[in-house]
Amino acid sequence: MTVLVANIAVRAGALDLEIALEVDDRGLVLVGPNGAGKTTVLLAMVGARRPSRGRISIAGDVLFDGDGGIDRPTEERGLAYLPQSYALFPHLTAARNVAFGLRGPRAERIARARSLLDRLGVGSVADRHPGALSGGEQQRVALARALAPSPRALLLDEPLAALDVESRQSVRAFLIAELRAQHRPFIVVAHDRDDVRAFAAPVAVVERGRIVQRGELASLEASPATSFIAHLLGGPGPGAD
Amino acid sequence: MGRSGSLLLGLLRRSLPRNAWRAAGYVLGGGLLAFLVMPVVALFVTGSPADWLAGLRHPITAPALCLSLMTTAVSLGVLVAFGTPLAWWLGRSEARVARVIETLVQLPIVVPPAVAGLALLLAFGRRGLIGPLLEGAGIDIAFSTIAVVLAQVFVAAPFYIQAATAAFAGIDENLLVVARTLGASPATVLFRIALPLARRGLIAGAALAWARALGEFGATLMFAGNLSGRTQTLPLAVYTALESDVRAAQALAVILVVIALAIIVFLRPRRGRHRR
Repeated sequence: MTVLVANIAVRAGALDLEIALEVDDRGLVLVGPNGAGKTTVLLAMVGARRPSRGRISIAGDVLFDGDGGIDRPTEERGLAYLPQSYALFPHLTAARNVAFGLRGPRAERIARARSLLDRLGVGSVADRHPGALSGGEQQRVALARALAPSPRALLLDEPLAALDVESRQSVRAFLIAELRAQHRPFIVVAHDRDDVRAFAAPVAVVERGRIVQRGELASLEASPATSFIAHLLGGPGPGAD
Repeated sequence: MGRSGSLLLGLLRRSLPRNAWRAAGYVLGGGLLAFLVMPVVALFVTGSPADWLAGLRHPITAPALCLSLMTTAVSLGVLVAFGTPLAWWLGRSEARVARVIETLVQLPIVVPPAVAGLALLLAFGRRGLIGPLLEGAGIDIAFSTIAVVLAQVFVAAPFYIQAATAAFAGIDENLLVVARTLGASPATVLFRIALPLARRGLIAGAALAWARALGEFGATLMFAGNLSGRTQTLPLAVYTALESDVRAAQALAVILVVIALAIIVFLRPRRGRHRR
């Protein structure tokens, strides 16, 4: 089983982040208040923020090691990143967005992109530009693009936040089914109670750059360590009986 | 404005009816507009097309037009080749030194062209800062066509760099990060994502820079001189022709104004639907 391990410190502006994570293909849901450092964790993993020290590895392959002087470039890490805005390339059609991460002759890449879009149920919008897609369509195209190069792990930053209430549930069910089918480690940042439950994965809570609690959802619900967790999960606060 | 000034304004505002203010606005704004338009109109109406044709056949015209087109093309090429990487760094870096350089790069806009010409002479002239070095290498820049190009690059650079920097700075960082996670090298990201997304700004900056290079006069005169066929560009030819043949000067001026108008029309803000 592939395991993604990160034990890193990152300083970014006012943020002082120090975090240790271990993710297998059961996934991990990362929760925490705004500005706690969740996005920075993902950016550090893909190599867009340089940790001041620490180590990141996947399946034993070291991606970053502050002491060993290892800092593999983003394009060699094999980690897919899906930002909250989806970041579809606005000047490329959906099919070309997906084909961007594929290798091989152009026609073949486009054909594979189309079949991937078909499989994710958005084959009909393959020739449209991102600006002409609905939120749910954008998310599926972005997911197709992230999956196209067969990444070793998926990092998703609030993948449901940009969706309206109507499309949210169906897109969520689809996303979860897809992530489960992948059998790859994934980290998903979430801030909605229903989303956290739906992913049914271990949870880690980040507050002010530190992990304040981690474990199965049930154990967090039974004894939340902070009022943020209690509030998020809708249970009694710490110290309450 | 002092306290008494704002008091006066307040009094005026209360004492004059709304329509009077509007009328005053029309008169002031219209007056300025008329002042701006009048010289351009004069350029066209004081000569006939026959005069312009005669002016175009004047021996000073063809060499100046050729030299201007040639030197501005080279200047623009140099500026885009060297300025794009600089603008990329200025647009994407969060370093404080980048902000300082971004400000310094604006200097040629506010420096008087004559000062720029003198500065170029003191730097690259025969007795300038690195003149002896260039002379040792057999290069004599001052009063050559190369000097024309250097003067144009110097004065036009801020226009391109500023527009390109803004265009690059406006690109969402997530697009660049995601492209890298999809296996693209930094060079691939630049050519397939950043440049296409910044295209509009880059083209606008290049057009403005080209217009500035085409109009360059003062620095060229000081640093490159006014030698027909070698350093006498269109603006210098207008200046020279004025002494012998006003019609030729006017014909050259009309060419420059038409080019300027074409650039303004090309750069006008576009309305309508964007795909983005």
